Amino acid sequence: MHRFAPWLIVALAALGYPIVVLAFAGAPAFPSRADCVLAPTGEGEYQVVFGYRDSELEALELRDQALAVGFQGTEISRDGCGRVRIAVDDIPSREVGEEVIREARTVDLDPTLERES
Amino acid sequence: MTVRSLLGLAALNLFAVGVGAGLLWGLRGWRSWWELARLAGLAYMLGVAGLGVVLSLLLVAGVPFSLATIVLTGLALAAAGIVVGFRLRRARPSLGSAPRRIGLVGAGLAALVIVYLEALFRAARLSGLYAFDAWSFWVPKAKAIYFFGGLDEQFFSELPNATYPPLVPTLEATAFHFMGSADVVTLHVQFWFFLAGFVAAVAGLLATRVPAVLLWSFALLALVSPRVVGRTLEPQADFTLDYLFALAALLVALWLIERQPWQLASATLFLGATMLTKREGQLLAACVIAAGLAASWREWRSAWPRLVLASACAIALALPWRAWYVSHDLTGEFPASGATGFLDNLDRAWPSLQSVLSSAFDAGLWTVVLPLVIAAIALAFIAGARVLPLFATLVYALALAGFTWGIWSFTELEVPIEQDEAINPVVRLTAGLIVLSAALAPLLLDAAWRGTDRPRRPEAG
Repeated sequence: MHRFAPWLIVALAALGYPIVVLAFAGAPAFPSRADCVLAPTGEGEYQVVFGYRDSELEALELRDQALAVGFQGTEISRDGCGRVRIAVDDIPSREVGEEVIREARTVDLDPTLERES
Repeated sequence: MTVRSLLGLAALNLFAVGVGAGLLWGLRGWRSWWELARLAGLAYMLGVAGLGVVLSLLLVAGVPFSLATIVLTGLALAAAGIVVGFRLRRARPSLGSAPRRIGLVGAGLAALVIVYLEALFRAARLSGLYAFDAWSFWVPKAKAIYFFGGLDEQFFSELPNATYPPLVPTLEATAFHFMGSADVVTLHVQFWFFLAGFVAAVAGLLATRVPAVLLWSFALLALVSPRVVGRTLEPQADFTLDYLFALAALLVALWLIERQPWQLASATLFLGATMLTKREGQLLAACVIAAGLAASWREWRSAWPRLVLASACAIALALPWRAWYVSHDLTGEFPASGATGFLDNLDRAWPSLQSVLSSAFDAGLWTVVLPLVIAAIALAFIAGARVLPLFATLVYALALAGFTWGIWSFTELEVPIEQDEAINPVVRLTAGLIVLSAALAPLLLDAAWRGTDRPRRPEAG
């Protein structure tokens, strides 16, 4: 037994730490793309998001569509989750954001309101 | 940040172990499967270095970079090692005897290192791409290789530091292929594998040579240095360079006292990889070779031709990249004032040295690693050892002198350098000496304890 005791210590530590983490912190989380979408709650500025696309080329199409119907300030940016966001930023309040969304729906766009990160 | 990316990286790194095991079989062979398990970290790092070097050369040669290229390259490397092994009549491995005892204290320290690495893995899994150089040019270069299937001259020339060698971007692009996407978050896990591989390689090489307490206490001391904790997972070349340099230096040190050909052959591959990782890799490789030459001066007839051949082979591995960027009119590798331009700026000498020394001995970055190494060198000299402490002294001294020359020569750098450690170039340079200390300090202290640096039990070739 004495011969194997040091190896037992190494094995216990190697297995013990992950087991303790799993027991107290639960299974590992794998953030999804939805984690980059912040719900429009709380303080701060908002953004009206016309959509997400996988490539900048596709995103530019939607941006141009929004600009063509008058939504000045529509820009594209990486969302941090592998997609490109098409949005109007710096919306000062939730009410203003909802007004912009109502207008957009009249021209066949379907934006959503998000909190700026 | 997906399970698929993690499984892809696991597959890539297992593949690297397989490639390196083939290379190790050719270079050294192993007598038992236990011995292979002990040297698995070295095999992994040989695989990483071998894949990195050959894939870089293939990129320079214009071979399209794809998953098939990576797999075929790895298989060819492993097959070459196996063929050489058979030609050299390496013995077929048996199960062998169980690993030696490591003692309770040694086991406790090893357990701490393992838990540390496990905790670092959790941090690596969801790390964002925030390191400046990483998102500025290292990862963009990797993405260019991944998406365009080669070295895009126009894109590379638009990026900062276009002439920086391609080994790390090549390995990052390899990781993208195995992950199935350019997942820059999970990419940090690849750098966790490099760190774990380095620790395992040093442990495997030293386990039969020094007491476990010395081995694991220095590994732990280097690992918990604040700079290592904070920066080692960043997907840029700094720490990868340090691992390759430290392994090259450790293998040359072992070769100086044991003279096993596989040690110098493995060191040659690591030196070549070092030079293909960052431009200061050339300086570090030169320090290792110069220190090796000086430390073997008593046996210069037998040692020097081998060391010269090793350095020539390492340079040959690194030359094609230099030829590529020169032929594509990319510049910036050397000081604008030339190799001797520092003589025109003598007033920069002292502040440059001051910057290097203050960074190397900054306890806030590296705790007490370098003072302990100096003590270990002194104790080894006092106890009667000669080759190891002389080699270590020269590697550290030449590297510090080389860093000083670098800071002195690049006149666009304002001296003394007092930038934040996140962007301080000297801090990046001196990290190599700290990583090296994890490998050399246990050997030096063991030599001091035994009063000699003759091998405890020579390794079989």
